[in-house]
Amino acid sequence: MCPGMNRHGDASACHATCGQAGAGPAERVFRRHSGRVIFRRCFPVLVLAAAVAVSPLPGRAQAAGQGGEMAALRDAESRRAQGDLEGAAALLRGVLETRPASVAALLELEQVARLLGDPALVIEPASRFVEADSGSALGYQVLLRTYTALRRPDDIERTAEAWIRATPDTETPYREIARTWETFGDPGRAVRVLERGRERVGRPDALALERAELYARLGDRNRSLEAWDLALGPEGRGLMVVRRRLATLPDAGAGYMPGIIDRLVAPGSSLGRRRAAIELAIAAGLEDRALDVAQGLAGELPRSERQPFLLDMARRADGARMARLGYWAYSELIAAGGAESRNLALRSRAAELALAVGDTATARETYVELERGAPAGSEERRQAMVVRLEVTAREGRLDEAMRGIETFRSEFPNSPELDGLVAAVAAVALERGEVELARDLVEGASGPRSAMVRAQLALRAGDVTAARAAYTMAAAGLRGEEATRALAMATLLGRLSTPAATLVGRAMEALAQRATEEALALLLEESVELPGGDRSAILDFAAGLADRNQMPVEAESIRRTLIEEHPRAPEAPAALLALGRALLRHPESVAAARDLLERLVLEYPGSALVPQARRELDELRRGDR
Amino acid sequence: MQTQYMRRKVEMFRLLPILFVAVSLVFAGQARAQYLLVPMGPEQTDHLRAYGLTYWVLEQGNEAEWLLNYRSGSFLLPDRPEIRREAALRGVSTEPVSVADVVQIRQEIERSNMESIILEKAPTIAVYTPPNTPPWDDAVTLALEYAEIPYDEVWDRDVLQGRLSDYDWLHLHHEDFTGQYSKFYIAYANEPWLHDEIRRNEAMAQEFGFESVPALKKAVAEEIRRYVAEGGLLFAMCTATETLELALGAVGVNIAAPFSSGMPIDPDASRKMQWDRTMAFQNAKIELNPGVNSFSDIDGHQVNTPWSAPLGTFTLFDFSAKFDPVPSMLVQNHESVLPDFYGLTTSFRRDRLKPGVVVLAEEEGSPWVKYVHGTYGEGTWTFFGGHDPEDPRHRIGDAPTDLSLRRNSPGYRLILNNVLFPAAQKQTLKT
Repeated sequence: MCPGMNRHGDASACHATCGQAGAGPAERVFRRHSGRVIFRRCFPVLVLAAAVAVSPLPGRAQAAGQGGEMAALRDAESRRAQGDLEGAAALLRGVLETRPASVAALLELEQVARLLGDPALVIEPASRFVEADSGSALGYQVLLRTYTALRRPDDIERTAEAWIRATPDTETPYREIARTWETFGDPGRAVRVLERGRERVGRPDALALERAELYARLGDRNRSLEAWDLALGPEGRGLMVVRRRLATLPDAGAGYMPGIIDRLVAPGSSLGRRRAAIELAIAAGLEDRALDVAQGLAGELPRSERQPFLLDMARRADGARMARLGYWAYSELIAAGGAESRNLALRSRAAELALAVGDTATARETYVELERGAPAGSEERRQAMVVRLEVTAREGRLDEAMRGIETFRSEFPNSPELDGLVAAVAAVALERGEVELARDLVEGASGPRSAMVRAQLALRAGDVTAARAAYTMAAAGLRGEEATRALAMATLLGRLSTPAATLVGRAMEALAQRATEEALALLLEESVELPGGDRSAILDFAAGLADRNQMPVEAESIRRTLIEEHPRAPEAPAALLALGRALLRHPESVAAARDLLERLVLEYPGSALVPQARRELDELRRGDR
Repeated sequence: MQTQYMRRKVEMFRLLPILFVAVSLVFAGQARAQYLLVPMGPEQTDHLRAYGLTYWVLEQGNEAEWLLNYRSGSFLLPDRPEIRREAALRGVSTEPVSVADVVQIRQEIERSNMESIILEKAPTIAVYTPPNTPPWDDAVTLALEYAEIPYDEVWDRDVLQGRLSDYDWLHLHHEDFTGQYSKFYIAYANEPWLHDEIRRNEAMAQEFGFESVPALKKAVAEEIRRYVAEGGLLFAMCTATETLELALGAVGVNIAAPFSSGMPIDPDASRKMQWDRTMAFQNAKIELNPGVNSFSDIDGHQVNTPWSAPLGTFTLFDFSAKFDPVPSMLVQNHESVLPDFYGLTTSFRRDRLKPGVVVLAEEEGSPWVKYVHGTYGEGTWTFFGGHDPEDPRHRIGDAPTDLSLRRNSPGYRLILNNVLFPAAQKQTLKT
């Protein structure tokens, strides 16, 4: 279908896309005179014209004009797709002979030449491109890439000098030439080109970003920092692009962030630079630093700018999940006053953050205020009550929390939050060893979260069947990671013998009391005597626990044990993949990671995890890691 | 022989699926649908923020799908509490859909002129705009601000320092790349803002060693061309469309009035233009009279001249969603005939288009088109004539368009189509 056809089938727009329409010369001749005579006279001409039209003569596009150039380019693309690289190259060379400055043809020819394994094919057309369009960088870039591929440093140097001579005062040639030398494997030369460019262009921030990156790659930290600083500019306007470039460094720029921030907040720095410092600190996860700079800056801002600044800090803190920064910003906003409805929203958020930073007293007070201020039976009151009761339980006042739950139940009998509230308070009860209290709490509750608590209680009591049923019930009502975990527990309990399931129950008891190390020790030590199938499942469970509790060393050790002791266990492939991925995070253990991933692929060919292992290995091979 | 333990185990195993289904039914009210459909037909409460919501979903690391021609180009998002919350906060209407619903949708897509495009990453966006320009001065930045889609501002310094390569998508503000300050000196010669603009541009030209502002803008135009040739995606409106092309073609020839270039316009400029270097237009006649408020005859309407053409309507073309996904994406809309709107460049004469340019919208029966797209090297460009789709006769100093009152604007949807299309999977963008 013609891409330009409109909804009424009008092909007039096709003229712009499909070339000229209308009657050709042969048809007009045929109409004007007697048909047969003219046809006999014109027949040989027509045959010859048709033969030329269909013949695959190279360079045919030369005579076609721009409409013909488009056709030739499309034809070349089609031949390339069909594997006729020689044919494609011939067509493209033909286009470039007619129009040496054709960007599309030149770039396409470069790609085809590479596929043919003969990059030199493009040298002559690129040289003519440079002559025809001396103001353009594209021709020089193609030449530089080609000479790099051919490993011809003298030609790179010659082309580079020609380009610099053509446009000595612009940054582009120095930037691209430096990149070429670095690709060629001569970073020292790349540095010299950039410094030469900086001197010639004469601006202090000239090529700053490129120098910063190159010095970072060469390990020259001080020069790199100096260059990042220049790239940021006097008002910090270069922040976004600096952040992006930092993110491409091996450690995502983490090693440079503190130093850059120091420079941004040096005495005398502009407000813009200090704001940039805050954004950078937030991006780097340096919450204390961000808070420190933000507090200082807030004090200097005029009132009219302070409010928007605090709002901005609050939003950024929310996005970066920085509870302390957010708590400060929201508290400051509340203190500044404002419309009651806005303040309500701010107080609600501040209370959430107070909880997050552990200031439960302030959080509870705030929620009590919110509860009292909201109309009876309203959603705001209901939600404020839920949080207030959870906080009360967390502060150890379980009796008060339980009384509160009864009041809540009578005021909001069908509340969707009841399940979560009951489960949260029951979890606190279990944490404090108040098992009966927890049991009483979940007795009258229904919902997936209270089902999770019932599962734990059943497991403690040794009732594996009931525990499994409760986990299954919970999984159906949960989403995402919670559902996965519930289902994983149900599956695990289904696999284990009763003694093994009981051991898991005891470990869960320790976990409920936040004794994670004790739980892990229990699982590792007491599973030694269990049959093989139980032991590997428990090791896998323990490794997952260690992961979730940010204990990577323990997780690694457990997985190694699993792989060594039970290489044919169903959990072994997952252990190999997880261990491989963990080791990939450290440059010194990449080789070991590769061994593990290869082992997964070779020794467990039928495993569903093999494609993932292959993907990791492909990324390693490509150097994406 | 089965032990009691094993018999119980087998029994449980048999009961498990039944138990699972029964429990699922019990908790059905509490369980959520798998997807959220963001319909884009007339039923949508806020079309413009729907794009912002989809962008936000991508920013969070999720994938989204763009269902071309399905209910006017709807989006399919994962159903998560935080996405529902965000949609509610933004005022975007959504419909939960189950897996079974999605199967039906896909079947309908399969048998109709529709296609599902996976959007996999939030594109990085740069807006070329002079510093200190208020965002309401440009329709695209207005749209981005309203839809809460983040963008960086870049200007001549950033372009000349090679920063464009950091961005997937570049929008050109209504810059005059011929360096003639949009010929505002004709009507606004004594305005302080024009003097500020001249000062700013001249300082930039001096800093970078250019002898004049037109020379500076030509260098900037060349870097933009290189950006597109190397795979960048360009979107331009109004003056930027025409003047970018003129700047690219005017190698070694002065087409700028003495006011900005310090020398007369070359009387033979039209003949000397190198149309080989341009992306969209060719064979245009340069306006040689500095007192005429026009740049060339590329623009069909010539709004600020005595021969200005009246506004009509323009019609979006249909494309095959399966075979032409890129043009299809660019024309997704709940309306197909839109009211036209002026700009310093309002439209593009058909006979000035290069072969291979894809026309996305036209005023039927007229010698001009409104919205065009093409490829250049590894990248693409899209040009949309006019200044503001909801302000047909915008004048300097007019109040900014309030998009909260225009949240269903079909014209602004075309702008936002361009913002989101770079998010499509790479193989889609290559077709």
